[in-house]
Amino acid sequence: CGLREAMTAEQYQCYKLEFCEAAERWVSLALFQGVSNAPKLRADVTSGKISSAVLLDPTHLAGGFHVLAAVNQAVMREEGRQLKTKSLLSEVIFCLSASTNISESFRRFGLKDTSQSVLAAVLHSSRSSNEVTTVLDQISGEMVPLDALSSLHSSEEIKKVFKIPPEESEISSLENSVVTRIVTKDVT
Amino acid sequence: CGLHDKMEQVERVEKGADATSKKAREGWKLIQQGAEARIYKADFFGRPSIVKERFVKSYRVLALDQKLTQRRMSQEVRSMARCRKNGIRAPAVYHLDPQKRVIVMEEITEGLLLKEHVFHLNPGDKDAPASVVEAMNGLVAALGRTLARLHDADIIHGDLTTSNLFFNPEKGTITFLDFGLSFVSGLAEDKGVDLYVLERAFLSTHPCTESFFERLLESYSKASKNGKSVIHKLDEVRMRGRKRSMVG
Repeated sequence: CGLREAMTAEQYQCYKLEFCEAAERWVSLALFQGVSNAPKLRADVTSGKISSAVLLDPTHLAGGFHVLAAVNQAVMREEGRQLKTKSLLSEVIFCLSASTNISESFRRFGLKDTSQSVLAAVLHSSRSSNEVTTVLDQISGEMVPLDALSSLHSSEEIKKVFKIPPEESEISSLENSVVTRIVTKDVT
Repeated sequence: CGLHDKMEQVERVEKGADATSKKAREGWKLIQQGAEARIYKADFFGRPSIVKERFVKSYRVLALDQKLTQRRMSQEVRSMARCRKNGIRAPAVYHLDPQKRVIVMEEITEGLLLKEHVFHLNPGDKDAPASVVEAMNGLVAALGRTLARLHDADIIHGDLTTSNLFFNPEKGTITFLDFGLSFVSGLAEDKGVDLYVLERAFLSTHPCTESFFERLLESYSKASKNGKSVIHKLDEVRMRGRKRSMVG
């Protein structure tokens, strides 16, 4: 619907991936709170009805940048034919984590039946794409600006899960600490 | 078959190197070319970043070149991550692509290169005002303390020069840059050599600053857990150094 598109255009963020081989790869991030249909959304993802987006539980997300870095890594692995999971979308979830345990990443970052907020990351191949609104329309909740993520996540949980010591929090933002870990997990 | 895979790999590496160089011209700004890598300024999802792209050294056997480059890249990012975990300022790593030999990291913008800072102060001048002396003292004290912290975390920078250090005069903090030659070691010898490299670089870039460097070492010694043995090793290394007259 027209009104929804106007709202979405203002509140969701669209980014182009610059560090991959493909010419046009885009990711759009949208954040929703007060979500009432998490179980249905999960079912849609499993059935393949939602096939170009990852739906995440924001509790352990440090910020939009955390997700972007993970998408970037996942796309890199897919292009380099080095996926550790079965698909690009599941690889994004795996890349959000600093651990090499795949099921753990799904448990931590994937949408749960009880999730009340959702961060949707939609992958598309041109700047303006119907794919984004199609996915976002499925989510029954209130779309909020990405900045609201800082009130929907748990800094303490994130520091615990990613093992960020207080000395590091003094010299670095949470996002930078998390992104450094997820990006270097293969060599650290 | 194994040979086919290897050939595919060679092709991909060559194409990969080409692809990055082509893309490198769009939106990336070359700011430095070294022996190991090209450094670019770029934008990573809106954040000012530095891209470090290592070359393929074609004179080397490909398999060896790959292994060596991977090892260097791993050491580099590992050291940066280790620094940060220990509360030592170093750039955050935003993206790592071993196949394309690319590291994308945070661009440090708070402050100035230590080299620039010291040039502006001009402390080697005989008639340097008290304010300059004070500022230099603060700077070298901070540097000594931060180096002690680095070495206490068993991180050897490997290329300590005033062009690889960022100083924020407002906060009095040091940020380390360029971990390309860094590694993890607890040996006092390695730490001594690290300091020696800095000493040579510092004194040759900024003449007549010996007394300030002494203060740096004092500050280091005081803050370090193993300062005595490291300084001891430094003295040994100084004696070994190049261009020593073989007298006595």
